[in-house]
Amino acid sequence: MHWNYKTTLIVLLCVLIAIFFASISVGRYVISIDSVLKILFFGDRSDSTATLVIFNVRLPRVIAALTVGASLAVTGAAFQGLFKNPLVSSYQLGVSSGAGFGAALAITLAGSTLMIQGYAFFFGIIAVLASFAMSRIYKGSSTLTLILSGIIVGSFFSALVSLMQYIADPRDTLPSIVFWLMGSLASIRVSSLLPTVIVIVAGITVLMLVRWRINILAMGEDEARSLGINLRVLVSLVVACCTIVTASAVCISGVIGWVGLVIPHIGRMLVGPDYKKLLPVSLLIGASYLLVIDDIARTLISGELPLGILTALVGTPFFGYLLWKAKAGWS
Amino acid sequence: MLKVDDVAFSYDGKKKVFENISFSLKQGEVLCILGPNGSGKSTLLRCLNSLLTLNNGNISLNGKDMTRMSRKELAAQLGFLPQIHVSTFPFSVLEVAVMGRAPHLGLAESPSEKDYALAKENLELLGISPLADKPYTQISGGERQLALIAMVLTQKPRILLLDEPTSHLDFGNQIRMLELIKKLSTKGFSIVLTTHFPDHAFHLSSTVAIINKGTFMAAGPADTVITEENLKRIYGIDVQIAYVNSSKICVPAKK
Repeated sequence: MHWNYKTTLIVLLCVLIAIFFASISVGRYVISIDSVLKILFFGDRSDSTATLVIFNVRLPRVIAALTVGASLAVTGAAFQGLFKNPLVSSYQLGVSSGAGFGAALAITLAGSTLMIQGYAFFFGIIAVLASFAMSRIYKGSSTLTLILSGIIVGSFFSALVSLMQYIADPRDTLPSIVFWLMGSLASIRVSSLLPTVIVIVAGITVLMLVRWRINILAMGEDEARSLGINLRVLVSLVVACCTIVTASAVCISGVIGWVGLVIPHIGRMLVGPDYKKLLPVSLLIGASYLLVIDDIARTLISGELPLGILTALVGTPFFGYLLWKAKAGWS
Repeated sequence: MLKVDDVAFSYDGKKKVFENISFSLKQGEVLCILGPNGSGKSTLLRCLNSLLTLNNGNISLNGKDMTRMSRKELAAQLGFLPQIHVSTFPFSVLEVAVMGRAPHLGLAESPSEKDYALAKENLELLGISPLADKPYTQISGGERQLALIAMVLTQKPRILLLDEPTSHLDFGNQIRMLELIKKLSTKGFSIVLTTHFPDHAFHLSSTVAIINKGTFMAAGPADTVITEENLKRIYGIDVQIAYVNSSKICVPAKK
């Protein structure tokens, strides 16, 4: 029925490593895998162009792609369990709309890349806090109210994004906002990548530690409480980690849809719904997937294709296929 | 071990669901709560499990006030079987059973081989070992209830709160469930269950409490509480209590 967990992990890890090196190799300036390995591991500096391309362009970008992919897949899977709903994604609590508004605001203010990332991160967190606060007002901790609050806050920030687009200068600011919202890794800078990756790794580590308990959240609120779970603490912890991870990912990549929704389903097809296995498997698939998508984005045409367009073009038919086969792991 | 003292509950602070309810439960004792639809049986059970907060009175577990206990402490004492449970994700029956270990594991811990062994033992006890790898979403209602009981037993509580454990079962499974409840009580579990069938209380020869119009109308041994008059009062129909092979059954009286 399902694949053996350990075998799956090893296979997926090998696939990720292979894609990782291949991704460093491909691009407009092709570097052979052989040279990639020599430059990365044996300190070969004879080809100065290749060295420069690898360390300044490819490596940061490849690390960003796999980190963002892993982030969206893990947080999407965690939210699906938390909300007991296989149709939610990492963006359920409005983090992407909030971040979109932050970025649009920073672009309108003619901010630097760093400022755009900072604003995106900040407003992404603000949006989730607003959703969380709103669900608390309608007393009780029901995750259903949290979903609804997320939709409300998300729509509010989407409206603000539209407003920013409406008032933006159509010659330069508007296109920048639109491109940001479509998602891209073209503007990755080494300096801002490192702190982002550290935050993401920290958040994912906490989620990994508590991952078995997401099973119990997925069984229902009364069931979880009967099993001795302090619901408020665990839900807040999972939401906080997911938010920090997703906001960090979005602030460097823009809005990339369909990863957090689709990847967990592929994970469930492989190893079943148990989060003890599902979360690590989703992480590996998500990382590989976004690496491949980003490779396509920067090699398919002479310019750059926005990632959000590609993930949607690949994700939607695949999701349709999952529905058709109806064995994606929910009832 | 469980002592309920003059408890009352209301959802909106005005209309009482029940009030003035007191009883106590000894180790190995079975208490069967009868009452018409909407009489507050399930609500009472949810209060006993601290899922709802009482408006008045208090409940103590082994002499300790329940409101002063953490969820984790409560879960080590109380196991709860909900009336209906649906899962979105197709966890296997074994994965569901092992979730019962949650109160015994740290926040960052996952179940070990030992925990899985314990869960398997309980599947064996309930006779559902062959279902271990089956998805919880694709088994029958009766099997699902057994899977949840396996989870509750894996939790190793001392008191079981069962909300209508027989209501979605076919005739054979109802009787098997009652036999299981008897077996668990002889193993030392104290059990509170709600039911719509007075016959089941006879079958269990348990203590019975009838909840009607927001309070316990009668409480005591099945034979003294389940009478034709009491059944008419709560269900509004004429009932005759008959003997078949020296066990009592309730039959609707002919008009």
